[in-house]
Amino acid sequence: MSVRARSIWIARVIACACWAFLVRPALAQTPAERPATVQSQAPADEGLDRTLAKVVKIFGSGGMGGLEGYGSGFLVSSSGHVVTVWSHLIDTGEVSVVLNDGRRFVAKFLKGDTSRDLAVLKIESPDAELPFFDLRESAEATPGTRVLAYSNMFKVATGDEPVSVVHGVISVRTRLSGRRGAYRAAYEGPVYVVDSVTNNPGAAGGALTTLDGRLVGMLGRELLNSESNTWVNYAVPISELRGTIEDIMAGRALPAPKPADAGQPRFAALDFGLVLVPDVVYRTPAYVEAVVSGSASAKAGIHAEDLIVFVNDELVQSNRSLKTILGRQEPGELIHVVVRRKDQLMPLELRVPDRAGKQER
Amino acid sequence: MSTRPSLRLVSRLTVAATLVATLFMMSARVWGGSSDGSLDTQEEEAFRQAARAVAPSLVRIQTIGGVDRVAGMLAATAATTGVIVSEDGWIVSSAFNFISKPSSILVQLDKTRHSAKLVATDRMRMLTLLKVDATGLTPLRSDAHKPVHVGQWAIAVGRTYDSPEPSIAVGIVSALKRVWGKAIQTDAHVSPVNYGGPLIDLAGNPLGVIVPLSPQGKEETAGVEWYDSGIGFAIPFADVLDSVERLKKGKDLYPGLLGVTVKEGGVDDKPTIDVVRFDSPAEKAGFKAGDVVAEIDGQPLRRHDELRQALGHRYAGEKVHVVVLRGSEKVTADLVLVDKLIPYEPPLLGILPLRLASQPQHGVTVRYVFPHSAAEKAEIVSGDQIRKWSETVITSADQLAGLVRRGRPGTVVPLVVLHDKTEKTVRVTLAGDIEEIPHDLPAAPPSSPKEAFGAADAPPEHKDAVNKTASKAPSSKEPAGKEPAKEVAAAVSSKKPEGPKTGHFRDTLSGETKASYWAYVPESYSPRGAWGLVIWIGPGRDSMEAAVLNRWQSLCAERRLIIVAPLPGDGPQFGPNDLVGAWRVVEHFLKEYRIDRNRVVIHSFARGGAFASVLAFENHEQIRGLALVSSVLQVPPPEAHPSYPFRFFFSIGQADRAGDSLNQRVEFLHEMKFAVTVQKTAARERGYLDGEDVAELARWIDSLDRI
Repeated sequence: MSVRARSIWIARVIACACWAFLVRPALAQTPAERPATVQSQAPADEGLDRTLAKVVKIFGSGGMGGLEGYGSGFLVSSSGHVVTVWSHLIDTGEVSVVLNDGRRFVAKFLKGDTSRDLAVLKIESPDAELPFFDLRESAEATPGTRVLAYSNMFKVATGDEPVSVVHGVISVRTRLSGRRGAYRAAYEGPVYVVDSVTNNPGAAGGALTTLDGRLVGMLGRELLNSESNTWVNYAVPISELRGTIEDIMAGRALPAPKPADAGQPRFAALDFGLVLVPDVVYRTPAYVEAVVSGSASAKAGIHAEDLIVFVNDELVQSNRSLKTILGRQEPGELIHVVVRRKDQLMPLELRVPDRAGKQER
Repeated sequence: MSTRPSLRLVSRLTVAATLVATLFMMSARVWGGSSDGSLDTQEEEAFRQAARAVAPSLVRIQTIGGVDRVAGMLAATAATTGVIVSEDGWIVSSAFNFISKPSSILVQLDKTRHSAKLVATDRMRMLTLLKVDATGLTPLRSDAHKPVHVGQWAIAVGRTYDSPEPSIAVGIVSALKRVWGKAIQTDAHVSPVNYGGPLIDLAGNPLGVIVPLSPQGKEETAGVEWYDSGIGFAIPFADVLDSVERLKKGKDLYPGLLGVTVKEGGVDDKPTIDVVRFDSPAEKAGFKAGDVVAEIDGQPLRRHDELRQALGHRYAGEKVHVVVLRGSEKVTADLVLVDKLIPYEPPLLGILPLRLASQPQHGVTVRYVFPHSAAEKAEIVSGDQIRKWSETVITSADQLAGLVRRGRPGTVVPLVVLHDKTEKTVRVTLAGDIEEIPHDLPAAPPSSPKEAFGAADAPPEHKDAVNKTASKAPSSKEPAGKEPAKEVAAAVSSKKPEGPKTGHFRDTLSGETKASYWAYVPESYSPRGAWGLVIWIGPGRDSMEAAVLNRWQSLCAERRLIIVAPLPGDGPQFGPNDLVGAWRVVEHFLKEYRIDRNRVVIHSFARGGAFASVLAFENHEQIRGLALVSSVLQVPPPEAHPSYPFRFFFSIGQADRAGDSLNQRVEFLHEMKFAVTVQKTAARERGYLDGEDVAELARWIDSLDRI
């Protein structure tokens, strides 16, 4: 771990500890003890107490390979269905779920959906009525919505202690997959990014709620965005998970996952009639060295010395990334290309060849 | 585009309406009204509206190309944020967003994309100005004269994400005038996600532009280590607009430097000048170490940190009126701050002066001319006598050395030289210091009654003698450090009871801090010629007495050197508590023996290097060199200064893994314009020097009085 990485790590830990301290005293107070001035926040606090009872601590049979042996989850049915993140914990054999009141259960793994980073567990409790999040009452959030993140980050809570609560606002709703290759998470759908440090070790699978306790999302993993070298704090919107969770709870078959993009590129740059400058450094910009006359590129109006900057709205950061992008285009389609020519951006339309290796003559 | 301002107005109105509603809700609660959580909802709506109000002035910036590593970290490739500051395409952003020096910058306005030109960067406020070819844009405008206060809402807004709405992070203003008066501090989470974006209030007014900053760090990435930590900074918006106006000229802006360092002391200590940098505005203004800075532009300073507060937000090129107190005297100066303090680079004529027992009447006799030096190019040869430097008559080597050091490489000077009994004038162009020590460097003249070579026509010529003596150097096959130190000590002799002790001996200086040492003074010592002093710092409790003596005994006589080895006090090795004692020992030798002040060096091996460096740098005014074997410099040296020449010698095994870090240090020292001699030995393991390697170090010491 580099010094920088470590210092960031420390900063994150400190930040989390601070938040935890900020929130904890409020939890310790019973409603009767609260000073009158806190009354205005009463709805949030009552929601908090009720919500804490719905969040669980999850323990696997020991951490492996430097991964934590603990995690977070939340109840979605009165009969003991627990939603959590798809993780190594599930693979390690016995998984136990510890409720807010300290009761420990061995959980049964029902099913998971790796494309949504989701797993559903089941505990058999003698209680007929466990507290749970009603998925039908979940909320949508927009930037600015205040949220609370409930998780057993850093395994601070043990036994019958409730999990930790962190506050923040929704920063943005966006798509992690918008930046291809930057995230090492299987999930590609929209996410809520939170403006506070919520995604800590053991936090994945925790609950993100509005101040009044409505479920907004499931806390995601610890992810480093390799494009900005920063940790991303995100949650998967519950609306993206609800259908799958309900399918699993009802024992229905899940739709087959989409096949992953074929590894082999369909086209080479030359199939478009493009000759790119030699790829000498890691970030060689995608300058066109020459255009084959009569080729698709020539017809599109691409010139030698143009810099290709966007293909179908996707930034072309390097020679290498252009080859990848061109490689996966669908035969015969019309794609939008933006080139930079003498400080001007020019939108052009490029026809993808019908077959590789045989450009139109 | 033209619809934007009105859209913005609508947003502002919505914000205002929201706030009014919020206030209404609050009062309703106070008076016992409903408590259905509306305040929270209203506040959330206000955050949202505030961000929407500024959204038309935000741009998403993408870059192509550039280096992939900056300051040891991977440069980011993600999209970043910028703020439109004029209708005709000026866009300001955080300098951090362009540290990879991208070859193309693309700016995404609402729906259109433009290629942007990087106009200039403000390296004090860490802002970068971009220009796109567009008109009718919506600039971010501030409701001026609205004071910012600590505790008010602060929303950090970014356009990094691929999303129709900007990203927001909510916090408060934590402090004002942070990082030397430059920035607003906020606890809203800032990071590469919103660097370059605005920090706004609840009504959508810009408070500032978000940048990473660090009170200590100087690298262009400084401050980013605090991302998302609750410590974030924004340059006040009025200052951003001021910077933009300056940057439009297309020239980078730099922090202004005065060229002094101030003594670190208690918080209430006055700003007392510690070091005045060579050739700096402060030196040109005649400021001296010990002066107390009393006023900057009419603003009185009481404490030492106020100096940085007063200057930390000033640009290079700005004029400053400074008042310093020298005792009771008041010295005032108007000076112009500079962007760069050029380190003093010692120039070299390229000769060794003949060492004399007594001062001659005039002239400096050349003992040796370094190959490829300024002197050699001017056809000065050993035996010549330098009589005049320009119009100045030369009377001593120290005087000549002082004149040379006041010049700089490239300075052209006429010299009057006596050659073959005739005077001639030669023009020399001073060069930089040398680092490679010639193999044929002659030994100092042998100790003899005729030691005082006063006459210029009797230059010593002992190349042969040197080679013979060198061959007598201890063989590398002799077991090193095996013989018990006591036996060596038994050989201690002191034949001249009337003079200072000679031979190998040990002693302890009594007094408040006891200081023990061992020393070797060649039996041939006589106060009639000056001797070099080698201060040996052992790697630990074991001072390697026998091994060092074994290697150095004959070299000491040949090169006229005295070795003194201060010993650590109580600890297992040297520690900070030993600095005083060790220096007492050195001072004792400087007083008791006739020491050539140009050849006082500190020498150490392996783990002794750290202490040796601190000892050398703390006393750098009296030390002329630091020679470390198998040890990498751990502490930075003080700035090079013409009055205190200082040179480095490092010896390291060819296969030593510390080689890379040594190379980095050497590069660093070169940037500080120090001459660094690096010796790569064939040694496989980390051991002390042997044979020719020691002889080379001795030659390096012997060349330290070069002019």
